[in-house]
Amino acid sequence: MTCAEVDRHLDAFVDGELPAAMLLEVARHASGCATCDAAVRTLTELQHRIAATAEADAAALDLSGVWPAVAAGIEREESRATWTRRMAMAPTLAAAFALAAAALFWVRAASGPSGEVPRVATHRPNQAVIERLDSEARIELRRERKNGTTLIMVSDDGEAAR
Amino acid sequence: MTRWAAAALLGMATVLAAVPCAAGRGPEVQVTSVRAFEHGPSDAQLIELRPRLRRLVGYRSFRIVAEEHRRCGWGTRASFTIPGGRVMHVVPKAMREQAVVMQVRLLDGTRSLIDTDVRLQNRGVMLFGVDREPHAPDGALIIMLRAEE
Repeated sequence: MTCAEVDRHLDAFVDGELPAAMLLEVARHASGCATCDAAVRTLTELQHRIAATAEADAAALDLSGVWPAVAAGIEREESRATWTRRMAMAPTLAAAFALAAAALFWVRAASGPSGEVPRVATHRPNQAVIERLDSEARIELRRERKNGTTLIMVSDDGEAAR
Repeated sequence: MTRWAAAALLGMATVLAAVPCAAGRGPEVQVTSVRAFEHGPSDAQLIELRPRLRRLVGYRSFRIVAEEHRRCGWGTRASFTIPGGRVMHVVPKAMREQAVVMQVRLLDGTRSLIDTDVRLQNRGVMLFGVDREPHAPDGALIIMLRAEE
């Protein structure tokens, strides 16, 4: 084997990827050739340094947040699965509710006038009924559902609403 | 003039003097002007209202700039000064189903920005807003109107 052939196979030799016969030939040549031996040693040293650096970088990685994130993901997935199961039960629950409502209606109907429940008007605290609204500007009516708060918003850009 | 005629006249005068007082009784109206901005702190008084204001108005920061409240007579116009050279006229008309019926007008000079007849739940609050004003294009003016009989 010549120095040029060894040079061609050097990387594969250091990585241990050569077939056994070829590996032996390169080793035999390098043991008798100072230049090729030096090349093999240099490349091997470089490989060790890269491995050591990679190990150090891996050791320095902060993986403490990984497991909590994974755990949270699992929890979300389980929660979703629970809701899916509940949704699957929805038709059964709806049927049970309808049955209960029908039974209640029947009991109330059977109990006659004395069983009547007085109707109580429920007013939201800020409920407002707009009976008339005029404007020379552009207006927008917004309502909040919970308290019934009403907002009449004017866009005062000088344009009249048409 | 007899003593009886004098007594009758005194009685009539008393009744006539009492009538305007009775007519003058009406709801307590409170008008609060609030400036709304995209960013910045909100007044402590508005912290509780802030989420509702934010949902309705769309801004994040709310600061009170003027507040006025007074007892308004039924059928009598009360005028409230609003920042930006505007005025709000409120005419309480009646109580109906636990709500104060009133006419509300928001004027910018002679221009009528809002003219409405509204029935507001007693002790309720409704809002009027002027968005992107010419002199404050980065915010809005919100007027909170509260009526309590």
